[in-house]
Amino acid sequence: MRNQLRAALYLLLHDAYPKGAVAITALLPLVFALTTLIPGVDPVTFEYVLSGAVGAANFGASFAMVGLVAHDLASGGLRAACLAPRGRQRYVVSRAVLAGVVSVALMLWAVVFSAVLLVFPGVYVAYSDALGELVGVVGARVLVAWAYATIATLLTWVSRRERGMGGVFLISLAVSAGILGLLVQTLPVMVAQLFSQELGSALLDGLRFVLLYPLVESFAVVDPLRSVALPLVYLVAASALSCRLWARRAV
Amino acid sequence: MSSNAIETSGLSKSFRGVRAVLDADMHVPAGSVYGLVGKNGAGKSTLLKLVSGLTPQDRGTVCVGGRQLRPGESDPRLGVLVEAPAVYGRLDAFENLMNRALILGLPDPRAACREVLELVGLGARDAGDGRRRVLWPRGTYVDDLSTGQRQRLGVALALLGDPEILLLDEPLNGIDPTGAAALRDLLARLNRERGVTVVISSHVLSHLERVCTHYGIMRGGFLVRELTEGELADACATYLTLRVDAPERAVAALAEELPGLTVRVLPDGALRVTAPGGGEPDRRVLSQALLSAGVAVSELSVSVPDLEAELVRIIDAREPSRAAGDASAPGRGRSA
Repeated sequence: MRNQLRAALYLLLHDAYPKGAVAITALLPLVFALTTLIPGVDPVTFEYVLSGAVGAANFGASFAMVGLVAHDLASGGLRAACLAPRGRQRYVVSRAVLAGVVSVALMLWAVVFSAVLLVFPGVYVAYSDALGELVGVVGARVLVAWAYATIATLLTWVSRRERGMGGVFLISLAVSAGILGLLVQTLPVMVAQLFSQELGSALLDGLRFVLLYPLVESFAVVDPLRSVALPLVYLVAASALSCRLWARRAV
Repeated sequence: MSSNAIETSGLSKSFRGVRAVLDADMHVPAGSVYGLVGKNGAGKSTLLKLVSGLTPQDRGTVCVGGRQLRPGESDPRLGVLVEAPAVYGRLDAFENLMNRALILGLPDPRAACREVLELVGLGARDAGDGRRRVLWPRGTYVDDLSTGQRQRLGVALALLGDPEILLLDEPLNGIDPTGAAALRDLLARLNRERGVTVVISSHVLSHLERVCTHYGIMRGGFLVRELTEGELADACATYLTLRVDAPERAVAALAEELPGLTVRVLPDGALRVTAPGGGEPDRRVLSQALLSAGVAVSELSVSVPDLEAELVRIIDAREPSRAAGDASAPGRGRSA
């Protein structure tokens, strides 16, 4: 397992998509900060800049992982992984762990870069006594980004298609921006509402409880237990499905 | 432990209802160079992918060095190049090798990568002025390499980690004649000096006949025959073809007068006569024996088949049935 992880990290450092993810994570808060330089524009809070950076990092984690596995698919490079002892399972697990590494690294980068942007005169800390809470929010977002990246990786594998940057971008956006979650929620609720308004409402409440995207609708941790448990459930489920997918797939 | 480096039994795989490999019983002796021969689509690549674990089989077993593998499992003793080299196009050659070396957990990955690059003729070379020149500068994407260079990289990847068994699918494709000869020499040297068992598939028979000690012949998804270099040489023995007015009487006469000869009646009534040791039968003695038995010879010709012609004859024999569980399928029996 250690070997597969070392190789995965090597790929991570040499692939273009993770570098793109680092740039994307920096881009949004930088735009926020730069706009404050325009005369007449109001200053922005550090929390606002950080929320933008964390949201971008959330997308970036999926973007980096989908890009990496797209390169795996395109090159047949994953054959190399599968030829090692217990290669198939370890390949999947290495990619799941890598998604975690990418999520943590990008979130840290988001925090550091947002802090650097405090040098802009238009960026200020509004709630200095709530910084501890911010740490909790960022920690919870790491788990969500990790789960999203693992789900996006699974979807890329399932599609079996080699993808260019456009495809990588769309998959990452569909998963990490909650578009997929919204679809999963809306379609059954619409069908249920055809039969009964109450059934539709109950289904909506149920789905919002089990779906990931409501967790990141606001920049706060509303339900700490669910914020931790739900991403972990998705993470484990997506990893298990991936292992099953690769167990008998020709490469 | 089995003396076979690779042994498969009843190995079968189908893709969307089309059977690619059927009941393949493959026996690759340890230390041999095994040539897998067949037309395009005969199932050579699929068989190698099944053996390497890249494609899980539908049924049948694969044993590598006496150990039975689970479907889709690979053995670390294998070095594999199947179909196109498995490489990341946006990494350079060295980075691709490093990635593989890390996966394999090699103790000194950089040194191992440099060694295999040198082995396949892509490492540092003497530039003639006493300086060493690296052929592939770092930063050249694999996507920008020629087919032959990629193929060499594929072989280098297969050689990483000193594998005991090499599975190479069409390794000489796209490589220039000089490079192909060098690669053939390399494989022969690895086999001779390090005892590496080599399985090499190709439809270019001239590539194989210079290095192979054993052959497996695939046709229509069946491994129809396995034979040694010696058996193939016997099959390539010089023979006489005779047309006579009374074939049965001729066979009896030759059996009595010249018992050392092997005489076979072909479907069109002609006789095929071979001498022991593969030499040409003595035409004068043969004619006299037939004349004294009252058999008239209307036609006599000498054939000197070469290895390639013999392999082509076997490959081009009637296509076997692909029906499931066909008991008459040629994969069930073999000469070696």
